[in-house]
Amino acid sequence: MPKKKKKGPPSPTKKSNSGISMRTLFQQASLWVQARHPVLKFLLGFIGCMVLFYIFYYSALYGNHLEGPFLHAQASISNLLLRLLGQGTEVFGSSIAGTDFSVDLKNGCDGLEAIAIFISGILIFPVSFRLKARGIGWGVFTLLILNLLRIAGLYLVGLHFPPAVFEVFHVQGGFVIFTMISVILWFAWMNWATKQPPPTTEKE
Amino acid sequence: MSAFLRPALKFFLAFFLLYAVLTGISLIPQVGFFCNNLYQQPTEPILKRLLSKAYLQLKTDGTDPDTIWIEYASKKLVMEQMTQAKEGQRSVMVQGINSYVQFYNLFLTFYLFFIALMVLSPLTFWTKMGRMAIGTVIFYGYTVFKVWLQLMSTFNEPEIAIYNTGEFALRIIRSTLSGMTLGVNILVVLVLWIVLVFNKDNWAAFMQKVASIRS
Repeated sequence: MPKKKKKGPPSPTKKSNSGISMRTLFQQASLWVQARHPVLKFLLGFIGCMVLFYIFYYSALYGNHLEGPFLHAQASISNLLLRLLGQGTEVFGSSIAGTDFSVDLKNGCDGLEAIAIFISGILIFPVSFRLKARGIGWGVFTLLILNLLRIAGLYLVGLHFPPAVFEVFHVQGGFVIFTMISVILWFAWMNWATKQPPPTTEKE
Repeated sequence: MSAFLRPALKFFLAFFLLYAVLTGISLIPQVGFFCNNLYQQPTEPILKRLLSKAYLQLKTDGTDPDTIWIEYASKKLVMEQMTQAKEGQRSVMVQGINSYVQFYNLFLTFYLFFIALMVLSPLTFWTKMGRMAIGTVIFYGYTVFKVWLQLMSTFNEPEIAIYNTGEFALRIIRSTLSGMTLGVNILVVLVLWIVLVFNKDNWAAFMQKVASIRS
């Protein structure tokens, strides 16, 4: 028996093709999010930590009071390494200068972005605070040392090779490889942290 | 070394090797120019559309594959000069202004980083190709957005004044641009890689592997 057509407002699905496609798009997006729910949760935490870092990194507090002394300290220690290698370099503010070449440390050469990636990865990993603190301590120390070696190495590359080679080591070596090292360290820490015995609770 | 750290280290060693090879290849001038031109082809019409008040042209100078020159002039100014030329029956030289972006720092270095990560990811060939294509479009869009912000900022300089964007919007443009550092480029690639490669299943397997070491 044929059904009677109901009178009334048309159903929203019949309104337009764009309405249907929007709904399909929404459904697809919803499925995509569901399929990645734990990954997105991780990412949100990670991005949240990085946003906090960048707020601090670009704040007046860091820019006016901390950046200068921090870069100067890094330049001084890298200069010490270079002098140990027989280079007659001097430090002027955040610059390391020799007779033929000089490098000026700027925001971005400090290795802090890679360190922030490492710390963010640790902070959102579900283990005890004690393990996180040890990981952050050792990891940050290692990355700072590696960054000092990177700065000294960049000076030597700039001194002995053409500017194009220096630029490759500066960006590719400096940013990409250094960031990947921080990711490896994060993996190493996860490996170590998950092997630690869980804290014992005394029973009465 | 545990069953967890070993594959991770293997992955990253392979990454270093692949990334070094890709970077080495990209530094061959012919390859650099090819990639530079390939990048410019869709970018020029997109920027022309987005910045319709300006005449602009992207080009390389033939000596440095790292540089994309952006030559621009105000459409309004050009029209005025053309009218003056017609009225005065004389020819007028329209002087464009040049600005440039470093192609490797803008795109290629980080795109190769993305490619290296994707190639080594445990996905089937066609899935990998598909995800790589999606990632390419997104990362490309991100870099074009960065160039657009840079040009908008330049076009609002008082001496150029092709655009006259409101103070608040201009402040947002400039602060967004200052936040898009090389470090943020890396972060974008890392996030893109995680989003494209990991899903609920392989993430759960990954976390289970971590948990199994604990037990």
